[in-house]
Amino acid sequence: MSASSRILLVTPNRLVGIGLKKLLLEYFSPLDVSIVADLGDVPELRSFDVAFLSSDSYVLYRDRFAAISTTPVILTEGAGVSESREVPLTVNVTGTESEIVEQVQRGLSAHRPGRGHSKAEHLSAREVGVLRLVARGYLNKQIADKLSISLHTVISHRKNITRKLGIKTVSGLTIYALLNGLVSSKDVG
Amino acid sequence: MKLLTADMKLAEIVHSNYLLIPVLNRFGIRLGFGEKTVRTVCSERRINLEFFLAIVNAFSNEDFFPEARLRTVNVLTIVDYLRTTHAYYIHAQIPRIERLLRSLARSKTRRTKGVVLAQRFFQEYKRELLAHLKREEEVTFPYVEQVYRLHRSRRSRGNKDLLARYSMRAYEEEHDNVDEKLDDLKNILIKYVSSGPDDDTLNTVIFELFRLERDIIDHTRIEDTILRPIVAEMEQAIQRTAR
Ligand SMILES: [Fe+2]
Ligand SMILES: [Fe+2]
Repeated sequence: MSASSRILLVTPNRLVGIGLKKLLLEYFSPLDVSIVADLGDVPELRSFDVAFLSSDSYVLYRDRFAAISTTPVILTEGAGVSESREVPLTVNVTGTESEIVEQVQRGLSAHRPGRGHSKAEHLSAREVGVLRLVARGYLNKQIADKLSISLHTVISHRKNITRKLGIKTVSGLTIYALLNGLVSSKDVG
Repeated sequence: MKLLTADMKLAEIVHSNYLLIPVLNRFGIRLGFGEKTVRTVCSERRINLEFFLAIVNAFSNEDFFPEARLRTVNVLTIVDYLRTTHAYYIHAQIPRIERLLRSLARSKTRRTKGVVLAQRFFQEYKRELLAHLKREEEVTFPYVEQVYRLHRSRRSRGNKDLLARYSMRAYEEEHDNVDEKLDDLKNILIKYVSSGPDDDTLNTVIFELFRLERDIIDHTRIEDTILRPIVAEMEQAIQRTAR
């Protein structure tokens, strides 16, 4: 999984910066948020995933967004100020907290559509094989011998199983295997 | 979460986080405190005010943990609090979860394979947890009390035996993680178990598991980052005078 998204807030109004940063961290953690007064102070704009900025600075620095994947989100005062096609993403700073949160969310997800935890993670056939043996009480070394794979590989399968299922202990994995018919209760000690 | 302070009313503290009610009980505070403030009740009941505030704030807020302040608290006060916390697990929380699981497993309509397995898993966990608590109550805590007395008396006699039998180093090694299995059980119940038509009993089991887990994590944090370093320091002081 990649590190948390990097967010840039461009505003000379310190209070707006602090407020937006708090809101971002409260609703969308983990995020890495930086605040600057002027986009001219940011040499590496491309290293940010999303940049929030006023329409004035966007007009001034529009070209800098052309060749990079950083998503600009425009802070407007009042709804519907920036209706231009190329930049549909705006946050109306005079809106209610809920409105602002929803608009910010749209800005953040435009950068990474569909990314996150929604992807179903199924166990691979090999992982199921390892899990069956874990449930039947085999130790890692014995599993390696039985499946003719290295101990290292067994350990990495077990890590993946735990990550995918959210189950850490052998007893927990055994219950999972029983519930899903991977082993029968007479196989389990 | 709002920081809880000495001049708040106890009722306000409960309104800010009702899960603190059993924590108040551990200090011997019962409901029915009317308009009294934290400061008043603590002085009436001879509760260490700073310790009380550190505990309730840390319990409510995972990120708040005033280590330095807690380390200045008398170690007997800390052990006392840890013991009453154990008693709460043993006499209230574990039996309640057991009862709920049993009632799910007894009912014809609600008895699913998952419920039966979860019940078995919880029994296994209960055995481990009770063994953990028993070890602390029979070995660790009495040892801490002896070290405390020895350290206070500044006598060096008899200390060799005490420190040779047990130590905070030994405690560190044997002190195993008692929240992993609980987390697994929660996950299994949330993702793979269906209770049939009665949702509410299963939901209550899950609420109770979350609550127990949160409490145990807080408890273990006090043992590992407060109790152990304080006593280890006393051990070192005793060893220095013995030389
Ligand atoms: Fe304990
Ligand atoms: Fe413990």
